[in-house]
Amino acid sequence: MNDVIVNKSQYNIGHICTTQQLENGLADKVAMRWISANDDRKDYTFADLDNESNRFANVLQKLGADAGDVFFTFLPKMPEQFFSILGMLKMKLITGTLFANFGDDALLDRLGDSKAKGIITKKSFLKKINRIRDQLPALRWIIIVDGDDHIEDDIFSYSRLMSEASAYFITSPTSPDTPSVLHYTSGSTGKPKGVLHCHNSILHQHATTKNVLGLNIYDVFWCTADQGWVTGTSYGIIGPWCQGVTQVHYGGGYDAEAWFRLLQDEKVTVWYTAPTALRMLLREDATLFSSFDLSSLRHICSVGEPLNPEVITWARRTLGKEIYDTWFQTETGGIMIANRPGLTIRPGSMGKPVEGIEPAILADDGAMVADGEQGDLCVKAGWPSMFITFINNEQAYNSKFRDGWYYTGDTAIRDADGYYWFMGRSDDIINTGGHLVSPFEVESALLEIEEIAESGVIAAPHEILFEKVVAFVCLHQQFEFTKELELKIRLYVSNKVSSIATPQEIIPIAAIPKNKSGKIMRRILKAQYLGTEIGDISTLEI
Amino acid sequence: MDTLSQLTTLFREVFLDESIILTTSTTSSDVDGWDSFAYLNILMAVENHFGISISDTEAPHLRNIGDMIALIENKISVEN
Repeated sequence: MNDVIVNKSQYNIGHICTTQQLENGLADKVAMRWISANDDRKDYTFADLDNESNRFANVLQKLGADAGDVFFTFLPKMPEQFFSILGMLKMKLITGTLFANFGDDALLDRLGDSKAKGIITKKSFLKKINRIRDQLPALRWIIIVDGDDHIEDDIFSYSRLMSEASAYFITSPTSPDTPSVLHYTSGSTGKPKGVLHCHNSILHQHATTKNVLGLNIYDVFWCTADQGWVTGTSYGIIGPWCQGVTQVHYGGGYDAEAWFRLLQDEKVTVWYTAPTALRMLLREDATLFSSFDLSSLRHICSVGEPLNPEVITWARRTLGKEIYDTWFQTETGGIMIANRPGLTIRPGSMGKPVEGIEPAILADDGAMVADGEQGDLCVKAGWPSMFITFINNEQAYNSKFRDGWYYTGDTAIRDADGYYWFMGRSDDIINTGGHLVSPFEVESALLEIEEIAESGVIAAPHEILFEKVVAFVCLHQQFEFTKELELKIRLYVSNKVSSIATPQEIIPIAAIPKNKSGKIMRRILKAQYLGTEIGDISTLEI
Repeated sequence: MDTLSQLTTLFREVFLDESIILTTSTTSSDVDGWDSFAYLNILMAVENHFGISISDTEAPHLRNIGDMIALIENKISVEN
């Protein structure tokens, strides 16, 4: 195992994940086995990963990009995405990733707020970018991965640029506080916020990949997360590759049979996936699983939303495997609290803090609560992968910290044995299928629809997704709610925000409850939906 | 207009993408943005357009556009 991760003060993530692995003698080791949705396979060694990311770093340099410039990938999972991310990191660019199903508004919010100078994408996604291009004055370079020739003066062919670029690149020394990865995260109010990390994060990602996911250099690891989200970068790129682990990356979506064939055929030893996927598997015919040989698979880890105890029981009974649930956030950059090998699992719990992390359950006044009592889940600030700012929103960043504690926005309890138990959110954020959705973003998109006068969006429990997006809409008087309008609303949100944000239920309502200052009272909508007590309505505007 | 052509029009509306060309062998991996959430939009668009109802047990078995066409045409013929 590569325990000495930082050599000669070189903290650069791109360098450590590639060049340093060559220095460790792993040039010919497979870094990535790429399996397309059509089942085409191609192996890339650490030498390949180094060469391709070096080429992309040289491409960026030739274009004129500088350290600190913001550059995004906007791609489905594919090899070029990994090469370009590592190349950007080598160049010390602020490296953002965008989920491939983002709609126009979601793209505009992120590219506009960050003043992104470049984006790497594919031809069929260009139409989305073109629809918002006039609102992105900072955007100078668009690189297209499919196509052999440049399209316009500022729309370049990836293959052409790469063919002209050298595979020789020396990454300049990178200090630990150099900005690195950028992900946008949803808030319950306002636009998404740009969560910025620094290269120092690799220390925590390395440690948790080893000590929580339990990876060693002989493992074959599969992380199903998309690179558009933090798990996809922290544990689908950085954690495994910084310690020379072979990863499988698969371009297809959920397909129980294809997934289990992959686990079997690739001899995956550790699998990191999401509770939503595991709950979908639980509903499959159990005979499916008995036809596959999973003897190589040591254990499964999960992340994204709380894992129900029945899934753990199902995995033990049907697969003969343990599932270790882990907890972290975009802001934390790496796993904070986790079940893990060597720790007795308490099904349904988040597990215990990982080494070097000090969480606490705090009351509203900042005092620690007694074990067994619910409060705000906080983490002592200063861990290596802690986010360093919200881009362009220092005030919002500062508001997340009080008296040296980072307030996660989750509520939890700690039991007498030190296990943590997730209880809920202290805000209105919706966690659907492991992705956070801002009710504000969905409400804003809904108001752009001609027929809708007011909207309110809440989270409601869902058997598979953990939570689903439920939209209450108040129509202008002349319109009526029909199946056609319901479809129009769904498609509008899908194409403007993202498919994930699509309301799974749309409920017409006479008026949206608001308080006297005009704030949507989502808790009243939620109580109405769930049929629970509405509580104090003294501030309700009638 | 045949069922494939009607589905192509529907898919273009669902994904706001005029470049979509469907064949009977098209699967989710051939259409940008076709994930499990978008699939629900597709099913609702199909139900509204063809005036049919697709159950939760039928939906997961549609492996490609050919399967979808067969289901739609079967339901239309049964319901007529």
